[in-house]
Amino acid sequence: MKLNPFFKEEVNRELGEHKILMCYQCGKCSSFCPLFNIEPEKFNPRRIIEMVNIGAEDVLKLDDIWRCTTCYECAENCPQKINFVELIVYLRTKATEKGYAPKLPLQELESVRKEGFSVPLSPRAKKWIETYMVEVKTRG
Amino acid sequence: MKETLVYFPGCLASRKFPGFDYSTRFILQKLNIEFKMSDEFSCCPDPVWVRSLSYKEWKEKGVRNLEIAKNLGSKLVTICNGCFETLFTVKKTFFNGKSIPVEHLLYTLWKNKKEEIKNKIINPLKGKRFGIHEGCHFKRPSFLTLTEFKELKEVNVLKEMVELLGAEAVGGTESCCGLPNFITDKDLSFSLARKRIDEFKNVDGIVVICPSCFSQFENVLANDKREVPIYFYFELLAYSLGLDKENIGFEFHRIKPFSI
Repeated sequence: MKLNPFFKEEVNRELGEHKILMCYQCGKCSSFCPLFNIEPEKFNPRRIIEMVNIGAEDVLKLDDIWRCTTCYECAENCPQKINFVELIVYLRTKATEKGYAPKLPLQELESVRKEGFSVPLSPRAKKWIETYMVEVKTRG
Repeated sequence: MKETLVYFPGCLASRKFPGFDYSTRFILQKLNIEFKMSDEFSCCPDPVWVRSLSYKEWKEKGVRNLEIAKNLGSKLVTICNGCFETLFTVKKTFFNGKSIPVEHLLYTLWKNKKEEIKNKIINPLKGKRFGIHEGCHFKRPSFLTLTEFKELKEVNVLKEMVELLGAEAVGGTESCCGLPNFITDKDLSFSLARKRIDEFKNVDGIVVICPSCFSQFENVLANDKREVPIYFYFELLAYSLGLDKENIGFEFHRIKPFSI
């Protein structure tokens, strides 16, 4: 594993000085994480913070960072008030810039760029809207 | 002066589950709440993937939606936890809190319309027992939301609002449905949803307040060939207030609802 001290500095600069460095690896983030509680080898927030704090830039290449659901269990329970979701968003943004983003989330972004919406309007939904959305029928 | 709400249905409720949008408009009309919508609104945008892939675009589109809303009314309401998270967070982060107020409609109705709803119920849901799932972003991140919605610290709003309709409400976790990582790790995503669904025993269905949670639970149950109906809260409220069953949009459910 290659270590890059500039990567560590960059993350801390972007997220607020020493914010992530305040982590003392107590592991509360992981113990509250619903994903860690199902498959700890697939997603471990404590380990991701540790990698950032030692400058392991390869964290950007891990599938792990794309598994977080951003549910905030980690941030809600961190004794050091570290916002792990903010870190995940930052790592994903950097990974995207480097071309590591998975295909499906990128398709959603493209849809928002082109159509303005993340979900396509299905012909069935369109027909239903044309039939029912005209007026709201009431009973009683 | 009478307050005008700006109603922001979001992508899923207006384009995939139009019955959610329809039920909500019915509720607003039935409760004599003045509201406006706009064809200019875009996706909120999605607080998970758009924010993660292009933070700049997430911010710009969120700011744009709030700017449009500001000129239409005095408060923006959403019926989606994701839309609420994005628009509330954008407001708190980039407007120094000084933009149009943003609320989840469930909170708005709980805060202002409980008595009126109680008096207008035509079809009570007596004898029904529902598992309730609030989802993550109704009140998270709490360091942002609880600065404005202090009552949420103590009160289970969804439980109270389901009980208002005459039904029994059990459970009530604010835990994750697993939808966001459905597109990056489906097995893990489904495992998370199954764990959540299995927490509810002997229920007539599960009530959610977020179209994403709805979609995720239905997909998992359909995949597993299990028949636990999932209800979007505003469908049940609209039914209780007198909306005909055939107009609720139950045909968009993958798991057919029991008769209510």
